[in-house]
Amino acid sequence: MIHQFDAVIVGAGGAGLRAALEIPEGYSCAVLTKVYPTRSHTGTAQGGVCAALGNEEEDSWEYHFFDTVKGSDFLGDQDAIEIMCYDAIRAIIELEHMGMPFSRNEKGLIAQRPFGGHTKPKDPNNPFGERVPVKRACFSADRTGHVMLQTLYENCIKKGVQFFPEFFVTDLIVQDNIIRGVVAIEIATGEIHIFHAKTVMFATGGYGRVFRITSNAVVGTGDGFAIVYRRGIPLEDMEFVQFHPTGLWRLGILVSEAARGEGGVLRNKHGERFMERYAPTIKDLAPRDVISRAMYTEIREGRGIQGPDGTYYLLLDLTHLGPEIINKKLPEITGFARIYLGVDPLKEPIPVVPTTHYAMGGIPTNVDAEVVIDDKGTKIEGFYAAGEVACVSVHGANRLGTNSLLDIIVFGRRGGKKMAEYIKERDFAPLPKDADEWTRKTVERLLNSNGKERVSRIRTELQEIMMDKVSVFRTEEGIKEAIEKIKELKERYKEVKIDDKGKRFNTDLIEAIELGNLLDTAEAIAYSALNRTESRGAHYREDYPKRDDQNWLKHTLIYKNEDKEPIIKYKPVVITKIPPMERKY
Amino acid sequence: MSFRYYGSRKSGSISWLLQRITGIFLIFAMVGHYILMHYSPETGHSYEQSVARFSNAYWKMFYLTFITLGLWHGLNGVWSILRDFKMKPWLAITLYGIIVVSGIAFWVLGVSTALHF
Amino acid sequence: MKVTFRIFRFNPETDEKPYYKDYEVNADPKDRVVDVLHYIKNEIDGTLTFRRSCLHGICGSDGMRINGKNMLACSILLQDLGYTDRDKTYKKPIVVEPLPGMPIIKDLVTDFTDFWKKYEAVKPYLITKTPPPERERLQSPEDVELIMEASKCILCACCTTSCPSTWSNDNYLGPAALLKAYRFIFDSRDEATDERLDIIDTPDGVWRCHTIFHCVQACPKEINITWHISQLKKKLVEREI
Repeated sequence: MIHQFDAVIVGAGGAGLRAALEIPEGYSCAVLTKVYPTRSHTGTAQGGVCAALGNEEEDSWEYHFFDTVKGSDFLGDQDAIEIMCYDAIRAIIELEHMGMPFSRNEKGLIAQRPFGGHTKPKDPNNPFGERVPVKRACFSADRTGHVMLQTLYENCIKKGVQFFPEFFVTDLIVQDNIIRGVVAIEIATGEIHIFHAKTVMFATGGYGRVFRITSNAVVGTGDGFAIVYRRGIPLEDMEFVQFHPTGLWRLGILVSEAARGEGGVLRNKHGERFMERYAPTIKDLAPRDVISRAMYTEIREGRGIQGPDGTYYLLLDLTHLGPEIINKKLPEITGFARIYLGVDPLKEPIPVVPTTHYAMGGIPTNVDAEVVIDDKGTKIEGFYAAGEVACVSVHGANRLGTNSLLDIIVFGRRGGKKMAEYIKERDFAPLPKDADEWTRKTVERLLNSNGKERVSRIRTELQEIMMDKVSVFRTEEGIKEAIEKIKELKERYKEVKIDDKGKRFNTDLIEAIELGNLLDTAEAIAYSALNRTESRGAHYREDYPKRDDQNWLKHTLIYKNEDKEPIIKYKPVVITKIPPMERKY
Repeated sequence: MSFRYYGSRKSGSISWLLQRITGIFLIFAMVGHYILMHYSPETGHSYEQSVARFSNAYWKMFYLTFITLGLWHGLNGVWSILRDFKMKPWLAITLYGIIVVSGIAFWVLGVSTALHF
Repeated sequence: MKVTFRIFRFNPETDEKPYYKDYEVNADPKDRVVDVLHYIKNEIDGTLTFRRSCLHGICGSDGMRINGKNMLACSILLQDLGYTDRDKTYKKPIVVEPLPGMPIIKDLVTDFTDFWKKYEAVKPYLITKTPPPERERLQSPEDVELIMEASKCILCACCTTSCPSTWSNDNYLGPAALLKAYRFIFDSRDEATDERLDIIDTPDGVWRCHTIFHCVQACPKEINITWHISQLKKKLVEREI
């Protein structure tokens, strides 16, 4: 079946929904999503979305800008970061006007709380001097992402946006650097649809499921990354994968940084507040990469606590906060601890380990969410990306907590506005013949395969090797081992067989296609990580433990090269105001 | 697959409230009925004793209220239960009609009996 | 421990009638029901079909009926169902069925079309008539507290499909949609209270709630939905008098 829409948005999380709100009346817009919009992963964000509103104390967007640049380990593009931090204030007010129920302070203003890496100078006259934590994260208890997703979806209902829920996008139709549409499988019927479009936005979210322990939803399989990568579009900075320090032990379920923002502390087996050693000034509110490394170091040096299954964890202590703060401001995460670990955070500390959380890298875009495929600014006309799948890059080598919710509403909107301009000016580019060929062949192959491999087996092996070799601490040897394994798994993937041969709601088939996406995404991550011989932000190479601005102050662009090794190119970092300096907390 | 929004009727709030108020009245009336008619034999069930009660102005007022509220509560309750099922409009109208007609009929019967003595 | 999962299966493509299939599995009391479903799908029978996403009770995908009660498969451990002994072989199976009262697409996957139509019928978005101020609209912490519990709703449909009033009359808006109506009627910023009250003041609206409390029992986010619906009834009565 062939549909025609002026704009097609893939993904109905925060970025996709925000972009859809910008498509003007009189133009058709379809939002495709592989789950129902309200199931999108944006809803799991807990702690907050930051903007220098200054509702609780004096603050400035320029402090926010500085923190984000420093948090990114100077790899973030400063022009984009400036736009995001400046626009944050307007964006939050806009969300409030849309109906988002924020927690409030006594004055009736949006309440704010401290968050990791968000600081302001102790002395305003010395902006580069010592810095102290600042209350900058706007929140709604610990359900900020949930109410944001709901609010954006509600506004899409109000506007009458057309949704295609449970449509799984498998391919991008692009020719001569002009976008022509996407191919999708309607999960309920198994039918393959072609969406012929003037513009396409990818807002498909992250790839956390490449790793074994992750806070990401099962649907976070890197589909957007893999689809564009297969179509010859590069991926930027894929080596930078954020590990969140506090995932529930064994499960990886996120315990928000808000827990530490409200005063929670991390302790090792001796009960020591170990972050005092690693980040003497801001301690437990240091950025995520710093804390995750500190936690791994603690465990390696024997100060972790061993669980009955032999794995180690550390403790997040909230017991001193009291029921008022825990029940009012952190109700969700206390619920998680109770349900999944049987731990009452009021009385005992919560067992936590670092968990795969966020993709800093992704589809390279400019500040208007237009996809740019090289260092010269060459665009794919009509193609946009926003949210976690995109790399603007505002997060550089490490994202600060609360900046992801901000990223999606700022760049989702900017992308939507550009799409609106584009569809007014341009006509439909013709569809190529057999636009759905790849999808049809893949589906046929998977349905008819008589191989011996199981999807779950390959997936588990991939997740294990990536977690062991390409996570918080990396070495050349380990990454090479992972790459060999990925190659082997890709070979075995060709022999994969599925049980469900039907058309109707065939999740067995969908999972098999998703596995292909996971493998391609893992390849891009591993090769990028092998290539960058320095340590920066979330990418830590034990064999190259120092940051190397001389050689590596640049973005990686990785291109797929059929069955050979991917090609790696580079793009300069945009530095406007803050020169790289030592990153200490 | 069949949900249809039929538009507002601004219908329910008063009858919902009345159902509760009459319910409370009926609880008291029922308790009174049990005490008077079943647990205190001296009240009497004979024809003469009943006629005597009907001739009393206070009892008359009580019976008239009781008939009105009891009938209303009961039939509104029946209608409300029927409403829990999805009905075709013709069926709903028919049943509603039966309820209204029988309500009026019983009310007239009750009131005329009470006023007869 | 050894335990049997008795799972409702129905693929309209191939099956004439629904049936239950038993799967014997080795599980841990600390496993979630969804972990076992994943295990069955991964290792035993890839045709088993269910929805899931976040796996920690916030996306609302995996509402299903487990041992007769509506709940999220990711928010319930086997030990919470009474299967606590690691070394025991349990005879009593864990019965997993789709949410009741909804058309079945396949196995545990149900058709949410009506559920979303009801959600949309209550105008689930803030309506304001006065132009917005330059900064945020002010709301006291107490104002927000009024709608905080309602805004927890994850639209998993556990409540609506557990409500007997919905079973007998599928035109009833149901607890989830009414909770959403509450969320906006009691939002101090909303300026369409009258219009909203009109929407729910219908025979198929708020008056089909007979305070049965099934919704409260079923809600995985522990929202006291019946209380919220009662507030709506009170508000309607107040308006009328």
